[in-house]
Amino acid sequence: MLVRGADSFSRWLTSLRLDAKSNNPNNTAARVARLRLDRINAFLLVLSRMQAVPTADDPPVIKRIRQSSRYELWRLGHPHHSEVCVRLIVHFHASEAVVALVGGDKLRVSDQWYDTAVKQANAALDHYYRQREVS
Amino acid sequence: MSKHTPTTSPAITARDTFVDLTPAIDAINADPELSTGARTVLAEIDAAQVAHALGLQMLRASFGLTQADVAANLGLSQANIAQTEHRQDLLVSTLRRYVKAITGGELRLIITFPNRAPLEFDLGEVASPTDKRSVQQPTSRAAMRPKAAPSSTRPEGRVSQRVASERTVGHVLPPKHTSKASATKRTSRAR
Repeated sequence: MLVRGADSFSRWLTSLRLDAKSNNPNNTAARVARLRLDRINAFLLVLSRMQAVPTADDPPVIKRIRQSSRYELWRLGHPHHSEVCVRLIVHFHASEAVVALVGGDKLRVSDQWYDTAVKQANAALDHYYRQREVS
Repeated sequence: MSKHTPTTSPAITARDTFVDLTPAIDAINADPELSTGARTVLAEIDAAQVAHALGLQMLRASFGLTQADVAANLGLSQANIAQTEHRQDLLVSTLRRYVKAITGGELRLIITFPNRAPLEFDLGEVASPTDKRSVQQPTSRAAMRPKAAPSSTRPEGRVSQRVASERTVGHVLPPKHTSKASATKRTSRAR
């Protein structure tokens, strides 16, 4: 499946890659950045290999987001890790593309993360569909 | 994460366009370091999915029972059973009742340590608030546990909190009524 993402998401990913590059094993920030990056990369690989829009939750990796949203949103997650809790919110556009909307680590804020992330995802999708109409 | 990269990807701006991420995905596959990290996580995800698929559903199927059968045994709806089988985190008491309804057997907890023999706990005491038998007649193995502070909380909460505090078991939720500190710990668990 084709995966799209906003410029800002791509830049965030690039920044994460730069953070993760450290030769110092004691660099905690680099280690955590690496853990986050590995999970976001894994999510992108999962999405790119998907053949169809999911029809049901497939825990732990993909679940439909239950929080109120104007669009149907899904989140990708990973098995429990003590240092990171990375999520990637996506939206499936028809059956040919998936839009990566918001990525982040919700470890410190737990599910409150979704409150802002869902709003952010809705705004991104408004923008996405506006652009599709124009083009 | 460094001061340069926010914990969450930034909000969309009017200047943003949506681009094909295929080059970024190709870069993951092409870079051995990135590829190894991502594939390690993929392996963890695969293992978790297999464990989940082979978990409660397989146990039930191996006893030739349907969700409706188990629901009837427990006095719950079939939807409740489906939900239980798909949850990533379960109260010990819920799991105990589920296992008992399917197999008639008892759930046991084995804690392994790096440098000593494993400890086995009888979870007969971990019961629903209405299961007075197990509350009034704790098993002898329960006596070997460290004493918990007296509490008016329901048994499942007290025991699951203690179990969780020993950090020995994944997929065990602490009780709903915990101290602020433990509640903070609870909310930080993966969901």
